[in-house]
Amino acid sequence: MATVKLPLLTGFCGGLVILAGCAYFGHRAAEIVTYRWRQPMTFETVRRQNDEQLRADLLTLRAVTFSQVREDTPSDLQKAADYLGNIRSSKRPELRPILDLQIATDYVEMARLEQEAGNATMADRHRQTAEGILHSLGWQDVSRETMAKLTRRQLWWKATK
Amino acid sequence: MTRAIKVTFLATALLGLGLGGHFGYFEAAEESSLLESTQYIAPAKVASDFARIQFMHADTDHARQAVMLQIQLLEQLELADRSFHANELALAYIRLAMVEEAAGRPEAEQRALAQARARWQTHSRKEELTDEELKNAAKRIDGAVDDL
Repeated sequence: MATVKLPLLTGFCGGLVILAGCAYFGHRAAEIVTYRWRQPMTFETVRRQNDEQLRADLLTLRAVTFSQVREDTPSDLQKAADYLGNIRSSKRPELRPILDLQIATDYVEMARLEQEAGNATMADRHRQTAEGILHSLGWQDVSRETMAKLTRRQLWWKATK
Repeated sequence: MTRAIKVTFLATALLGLGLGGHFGYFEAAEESSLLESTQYIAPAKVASDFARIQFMHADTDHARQAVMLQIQLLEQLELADRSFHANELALAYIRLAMVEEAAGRPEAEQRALAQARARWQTHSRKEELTDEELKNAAKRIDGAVDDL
């Protein structure tokens, strides 16, 4: 009797392990293939409409969003501003002011952080850069209070992350 | 290992792959649809924030450019993907009307207000609002966001 039960038990357990393992791999493979096929966050619906310019605009705006969620340190903000500055020239002119405003926002925040760290010279330099950009965007009032409003919402968002 | 066990294991493996693949596909397809429906939120918000900030701080020419850019993007998106509903367009057209009012272009202001009114009614299904009511609504919304 024992000689019959052991292969049955072993076979049943082995079958269960194979079923679970294959189900897991099948699940993962199907997920990966479906995501690669659907590409849900790459604006494929827009691409299928042959609207490459709109898709490029959406990807640029998404780059601005990613820039907004960087760590709140001068070095990270500088990297974000540099990145947007680098991609700026390849974007259509109508879209560049959006990048400019985000770069100015990053510089305002860098100025605040440097001021808090006691680096008044760096803070002034960043503030002047931000002022120059904001003037080019048609701002007349570039007082510290007005510029501070630029970063307030971004900081509030980061604080509630 | 007997032949019967080999066949059973092979059938079990195929069954596992089939079941896993089936559920994996449906889960991923459902999540992809959810992600697709939310993928426009971030870009639309960036354009909206830009238009609002420029509307509040820039001169009329720059404010007009910013609001027009938002309107253009949202209208293009609505045409490209029927699942996207540009609810912010009413507010954008009200801002455009206020920019045109400040620039002393009453005809352009009225055109923008007519667009805003049509959009507002489509989404809110309320009775027709006057020009002042539309502008006051926009001021309240912008003021509330600015106070955050």
